Parts: sequence; C-alpha cells; structure tokens
Amino acid sequence: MVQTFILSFILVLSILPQVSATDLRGALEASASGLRAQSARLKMHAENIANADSILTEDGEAYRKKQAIMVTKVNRKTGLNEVVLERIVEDTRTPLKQIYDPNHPLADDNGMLTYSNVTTLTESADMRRASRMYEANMQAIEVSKEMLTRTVQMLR
Amino acid sequence: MGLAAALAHRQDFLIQRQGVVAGNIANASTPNYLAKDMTFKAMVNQASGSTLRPSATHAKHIGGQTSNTRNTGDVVEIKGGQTLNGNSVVVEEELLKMNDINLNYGLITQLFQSHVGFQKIAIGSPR
Repeated sequence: MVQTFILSFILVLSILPQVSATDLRGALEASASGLRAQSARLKMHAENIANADSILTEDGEAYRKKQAIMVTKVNRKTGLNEVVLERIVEDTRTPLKQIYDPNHPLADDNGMLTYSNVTTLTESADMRRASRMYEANMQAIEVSKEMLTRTVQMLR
Repeated sequence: MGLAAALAHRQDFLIQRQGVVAGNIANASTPNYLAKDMTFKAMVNQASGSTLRPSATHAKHIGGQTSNTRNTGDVVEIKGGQTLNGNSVVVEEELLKMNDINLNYGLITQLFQSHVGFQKIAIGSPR
C-alpha cells in the first residue's frame, strides 16, 4: 500500500511538466512595475490638483504643472517589458494663468495675480486614468497568482 | 511521456504569453510602446532539451540574456491602432487575452491531472 503510494508520488513528480515558476514571477514583477509607476503618477496628479490655486509669491516661482515621463524598461532577468516612471518634469510650455485681482496683497502693478498652470479638469481625468491602469495591473497580478496556484495544485 | 511533454510545452507558452500581456498592461500609458503578443509555435522535436540561445527581447539589445526556457513562440508587435502618443495597447483587449490565457491554463492543468489519474489507475494505487 505504502509502496504504491510512494511509487505514484514519484510518478507524478517525474512527469510533472517542468514549469519554470520564474516566468510567472516575471509576469508578477512586470505588473508590480506597472503598479509602482501608476501610483507614482497618481501621487503626482494629486500634487498638481492640490497646487492648482497656488499663486506667484514675491520671492518664488508659481507652481508649474508636473508631468510624468514613463519609459519601457526591459527586465534583464525575465526579458519582459516593464515600465518605469523615469522622471517628473515641470510643464514650462503652458503659460501661467493671469487673473485680475487688484485688491490682493500679492497682485502686481497692473493688478494681476499669477496662478499655477494646472487645469484641474484634465488633472482629474488623468488621475482617473492612472487609477484605472492601477486596477488593470492589479487584475493582471490576480490572474498570475491564480495560475501560480493552479500550478501548485497540479501536485495534488 | 508524449502527452505530458506536449502539455508542458503549451503551459510554457501560456506562462510566457501571460508575461508579455502583463508587460503590455504595465506599459499601457508609455508613449511609443507597441503592444506585443505571442504566436504559438507547434512543438518540434527538441530531444536535446534546453536550448541555450541568446534571445533579444528589445530592438536595442545586443545578444540579450541566455535562457534555458524552451522556445514556445515568437513575440510579435502589434502595429496600427496607435493613439497620438504612439501607444498601441488596448487595455480591454489585454484583459480579454489574459482571461483566455487563464482559461487555457486551467484546461491544461485539468488535462494533466486526469493524465496522472490514468497513470495511477494503471499502477493500481488508491486515488
């Protein structure tokens, strides 16, 4: 009885497909890179929205909208395309908003106030997109995890 | 051992495709990224076992890394349908692909388990 059991166990082990679990781990790593990049982007958009009404002070610069530069990076170990938020740059092309408010203590000689160049509407749209992307990556992780579990269950 | 090997081949392919699709989803908002997919390569006689051959996974690669995973398919780029920033990933499509992979993977594991079941019956062990 015991012998047949051991025999069947050895049989299962010997014909078990040689699945490289590292590949699924690679898929998980790729999705994790997506999560990292998207959450950083989300944070950046939140920062932009928070600073939408920042004004130009006498000593400093008005807040400029931040933009994320995402690039593809091939993971040398897994050979899969991962994503990385390479850097965050300030938007210097869009002009700063000028609003007439002569009673404001920080208004210039013409009574103009300089606001940041953030457009709240596009920021919230971008933010929503980032959060959807985050969810998609989460879903990918879920599926990879399920596949990994199935692989382990093959031993039963 | 033929069936088990065939199943393993298919399983390897599915795992690799899952990685490619996960990469696509991760890069869904990367400018100039072209979506990638894999085409299944029918199993050829690979009696020699692992093939140690450098595989270039990126156009800028020189040589690439050596892998001992079996070559189960080719990675193809999906051109066309790019948005203004040159990205051709459609997230919905990728999620559907992933669902397909998951279903196929389930099928393979089920097949393998029933294959093992037959072997167990043959050697007369209790299930």
